[in-house]
Amino acid sequence: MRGGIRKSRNGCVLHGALYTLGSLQGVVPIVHSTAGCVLQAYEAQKYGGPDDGLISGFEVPNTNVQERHVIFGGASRLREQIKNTLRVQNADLYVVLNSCESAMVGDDTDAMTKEVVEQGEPVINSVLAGFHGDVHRGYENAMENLFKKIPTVFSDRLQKSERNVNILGILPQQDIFYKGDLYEIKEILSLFGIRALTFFGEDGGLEELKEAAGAALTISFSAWGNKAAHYLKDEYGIPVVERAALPLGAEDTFSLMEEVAKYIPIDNSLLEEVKDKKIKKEQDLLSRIEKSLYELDVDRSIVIVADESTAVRLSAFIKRIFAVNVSSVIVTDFYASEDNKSEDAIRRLSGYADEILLSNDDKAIRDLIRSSGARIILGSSLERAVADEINAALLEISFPVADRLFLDKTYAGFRGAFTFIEDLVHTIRLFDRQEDERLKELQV
Amino acid sequence: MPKRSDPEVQMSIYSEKKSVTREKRTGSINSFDDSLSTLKDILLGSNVKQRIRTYSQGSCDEITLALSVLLSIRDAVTVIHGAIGCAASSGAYAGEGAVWYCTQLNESDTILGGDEKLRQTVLRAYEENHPQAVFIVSTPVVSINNDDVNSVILELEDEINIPVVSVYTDGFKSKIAANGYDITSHCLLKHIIPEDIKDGDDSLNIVSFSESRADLISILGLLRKLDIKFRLIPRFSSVNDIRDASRAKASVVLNRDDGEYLAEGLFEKFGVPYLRTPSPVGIGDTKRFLRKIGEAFGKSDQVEELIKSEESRLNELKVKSSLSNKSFYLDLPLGYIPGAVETIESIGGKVSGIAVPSVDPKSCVELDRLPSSLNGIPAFAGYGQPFEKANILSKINADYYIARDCDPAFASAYGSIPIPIGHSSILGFDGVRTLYKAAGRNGIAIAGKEKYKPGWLKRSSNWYVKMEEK
Repeated sequence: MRGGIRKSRNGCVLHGALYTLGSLQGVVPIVHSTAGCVLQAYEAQKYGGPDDGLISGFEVPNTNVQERHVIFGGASRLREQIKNTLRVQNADLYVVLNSCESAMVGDDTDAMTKEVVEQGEPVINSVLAGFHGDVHRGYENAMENLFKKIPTVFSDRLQKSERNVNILGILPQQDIFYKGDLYEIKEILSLFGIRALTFFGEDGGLEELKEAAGAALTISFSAWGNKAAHYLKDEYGIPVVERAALPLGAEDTFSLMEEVAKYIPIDNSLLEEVKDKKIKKEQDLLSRIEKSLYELDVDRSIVIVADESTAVRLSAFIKRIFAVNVSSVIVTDFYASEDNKSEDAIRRLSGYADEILLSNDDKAIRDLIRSSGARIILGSSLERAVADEINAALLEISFPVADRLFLDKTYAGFRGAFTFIEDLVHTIRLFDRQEDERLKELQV
Repeated sequence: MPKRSDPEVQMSIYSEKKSVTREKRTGSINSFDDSLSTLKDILLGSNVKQRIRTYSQGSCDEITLALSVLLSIRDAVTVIHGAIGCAASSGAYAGEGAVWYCTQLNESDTILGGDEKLRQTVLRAYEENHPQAVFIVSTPVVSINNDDVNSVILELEDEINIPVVSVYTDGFKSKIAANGYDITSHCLLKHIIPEDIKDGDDSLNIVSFSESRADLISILGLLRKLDIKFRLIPRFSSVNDIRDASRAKASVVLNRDDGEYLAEGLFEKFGVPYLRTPSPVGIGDTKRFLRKIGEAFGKSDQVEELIKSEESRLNELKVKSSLSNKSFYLDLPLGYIPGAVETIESIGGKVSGIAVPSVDPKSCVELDRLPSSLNGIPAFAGYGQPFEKANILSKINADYYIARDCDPAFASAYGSIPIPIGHSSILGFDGVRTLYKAAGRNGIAIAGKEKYKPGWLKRSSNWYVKMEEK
């Protein structure tokens, strides 16, 4: 769609970097930008994100450049800022970030960073600026950059581990259930004696990032993790498993484990044992709500508005459990460039959805939702307005989700299946209750 | 009352195309950290030397502050002209039903210019919403590129018959974020309020840029009780409200630093008297605020009755609220500080430090009202900078840390119980209740993490505040 974006929902590359770096234990970003960039990310995060991050907003070191830095260059301001950050703020690793302003003016952040590294300080930098793309690309670049640059500053010996697996493609803050998703993946893999390096956990941070180079496998759960995953493959020979999405439900989770087992030996009898247990539990629980699930009438038209990997995960699950196609999917992150919308996305989703649109423009989204006759919307808080307009139920599953924090909740893996069904049922039933109101209005 | 043809009005700053920066207009500085008496001394000269921080943390800017106002104006649409990140905060600031667009400038636009994208986006904004006005907010990319927003607006004049206003922020020419309020005010005075003034409507303009909803509910509630017709501008208002501001009988401003530019502009351009009052914080200043309004609207008796009943309701709580020498660090707009000090001291508390966003020679209006017993307390000017405030707190006795605009959570690691007042009012009589109840506050069960190096805390807190070298 030409003419800008209506009611934008995604931040910029810098925001993606801030959300990623700011959620890592012991990592402090140093932002070389005009004032306001960091606050914009923070306001968006407070409004629609799942948590505050470990460092965000007013806490983030920032050069706050002024006119004279735009005219004469801001390298010396950055130099003093880096030097002073090292004196003031605790961190294991500092990451210098560029901005629209510093990129346009051409400040040499490489050189400023190199200076302090030569003095033995744990500082790396990232060159990508805000206008190079949106928040997803910010995560993609931040992760690849960490793996590329950490070995240039730390000379730890590479330690290979047969049972470590890197987890990529789950975006801090932008994926609203990222913490719960990562916990669940870690839990699932640990059932088979595999240690997931999720990087963003309480034991994560710099040391875990260093361990990535010695892992036995990398799993990327969305297109945004692929670049870093392939870097690790090219550099260290670590095989990559690219998944379109996190698994949801027992069957899906075991399909993931079967692929993992091709790279990391898993005792077959253990796999079968866990599989039996999990499937038995899932079927038992579903059988206890079978009548309710039919009554729910999920055959009512469903629309999903989300990033591609969330859309794939949920639409595939809905198809498995309810045997219905989602009527429309609107994908709000585009891995390919604007001019070359990904046909892969359409291919991946075409088995589960009747209509697919790649857009993060609010008008295109609302127009499609209206014309689809949707009764159930799985989307963000920005879809509240159209949901109210067309009298549809809304379950919030994508950024931004206003008025909520998420700590440990997940719609992935084994337990995610139950939580998702619980929330879907609740949303639909609450919505159906409104019919009392509508009936009353008609009778007045 | 001055007429538009008067020579003074002709030459006024409000007839210029653009407002000048705070640095030029009022000599504001946003970096200061020393005792209150030192601050008062340096502000005595009319030429305050500019200061900077050679280490700083994330801060507000004129763009975020302008957006926080514009996105709350009903029936207007805001176009953020820049990279996608500059629009990220919109969800947070948007009022109900608010619509915004972002031109989403990318790398090639930074080379070739973004005029065409702007033109198309403004057309969309108009055609899809039929708003009463379109505000275009500019960002660093646009300003560095010297994109000509005005020529785009001129070209659209034939197609769009509502005001399309260039809110000429750029994000780096002023260090004072409140400059965004001045730019917004200048644009509203110039492009929204019509030249021809309709008949007066006996209303009171309430000028508010940054007050919380709780604050506004507190003050507007009092005015309802007095049966005074009021108009809240510019935040949480509508384009029509702003247009009608010239019809008011008088204006008051809830925070002088934020709103004086608009109120003085309403007087100079449209003859609406500006009733100068303190911010209604604390009983004393709330009374002064109400009495001045009452006098202008012939409601002095009703005001006295209202004050009497509110004060007697507070007395019961006051008796229970002894602060028994507890100390407070106040991180608030400058206008709120005198009233907050008065209230805290009236129930036996002490103020051990203050922090305000910016200061200029006119700040003496507020600073001179503070008791001389406070001359030795640390005084800070700046947006945020918790690293510096942590240093200050680690050296003084401050049982409580009250903050409105920047997160007070960090203070718990440095010996102070944080009291955020974003959702409780600090204005009016409700605000007094908030301050009285502060005595009962405890922290939450998470020990604040010490984020700053011990070596930093050993230094003087103003180590990184330096004179700006020209």
